[in-house]
Amino acid sequence: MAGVLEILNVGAGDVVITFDNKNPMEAIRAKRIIKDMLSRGYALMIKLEDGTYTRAKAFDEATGEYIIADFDPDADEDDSPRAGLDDGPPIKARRGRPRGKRVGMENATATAIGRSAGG
Amino acid sequence: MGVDWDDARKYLRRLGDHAGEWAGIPCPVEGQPLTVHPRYPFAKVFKSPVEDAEGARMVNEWYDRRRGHHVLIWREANGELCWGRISNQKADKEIKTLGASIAWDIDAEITAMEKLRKVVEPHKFRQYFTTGSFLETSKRSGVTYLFRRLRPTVAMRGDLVSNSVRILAALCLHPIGFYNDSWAGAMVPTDDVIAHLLLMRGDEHGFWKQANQHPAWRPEAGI
Repeated sequence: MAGVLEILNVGAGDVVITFDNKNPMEAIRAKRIIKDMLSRGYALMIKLEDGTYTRAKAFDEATGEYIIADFDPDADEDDSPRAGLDDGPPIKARRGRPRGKRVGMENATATAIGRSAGG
Repeated sequence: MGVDWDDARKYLRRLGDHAGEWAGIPCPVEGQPLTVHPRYPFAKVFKSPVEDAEGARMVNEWYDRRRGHHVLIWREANGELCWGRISNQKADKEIKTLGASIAWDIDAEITAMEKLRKVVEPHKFRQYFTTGSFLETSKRSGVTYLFRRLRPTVAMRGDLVSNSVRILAALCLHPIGFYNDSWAGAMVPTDDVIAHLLLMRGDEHGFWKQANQHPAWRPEAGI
């Protein structure tokens, strides 16, 4: 199975990069692209096996794995107004450090979204 | 033989590939300044000369709901305090959006629609294709989002006791940039919707944090 990286692009709509982990050149290129995107502040949204999406917090270039968190590790840092986002039933809070779940890039579909300028 | 908009978009695409800019380079449109993310590599290119000019400094601004206009207070370079009003011209924003649409490639919009079709259920895509909007409720927070083409996403919460719906905010967010005083983003409209949807699904707190949160009664909410 090949990994897929889709990038929202102003000109082309959707640039798609596929890579086969068994092809070393493709794998190296893909890892560099992913690493570069994260360093530029792109949001990488990973589609999980159950169909849900989660954001990649980091990427392990050595192992070719996206590092995603089990819960939102930025919750403590996020002091921006959320205007009722938390008004509903309480979300189950978990204690402890983020467990840093990993998803291999060779089996994942990721969508890259550039930094937002607001609106 | 002159250069047309298709040529300009193709050139910018090649330039973006050459520069290693994954999201591409927005197409400038005369008379329609672009606001891009300040850390976008080409932000300086799109900076309006007015922003760079020394002199007047904004002191305060607010929206007068009763009269339907923005009030601005600024200080001139000589220290004089001035004020003014800007009327809320909805039609003006619509026309500017039309003007900015020349920057979009039709094939890019079709590609984005095909992608959206893959990430939402058929009935939601049908709603979007026919009406330009669809609903999705976050399993995480219980907030219901109305995703709209060329308008901010409306976040709502239902109240079963009073059988009513409360609008929490209209969330406005454009990857890379947007054309000032319009509803148009640098990306084609459906790519903006995809960005909102995937951010909501995968990083809801981050979505709220990045977006401008407009109260429902502000013209910027587009309600």
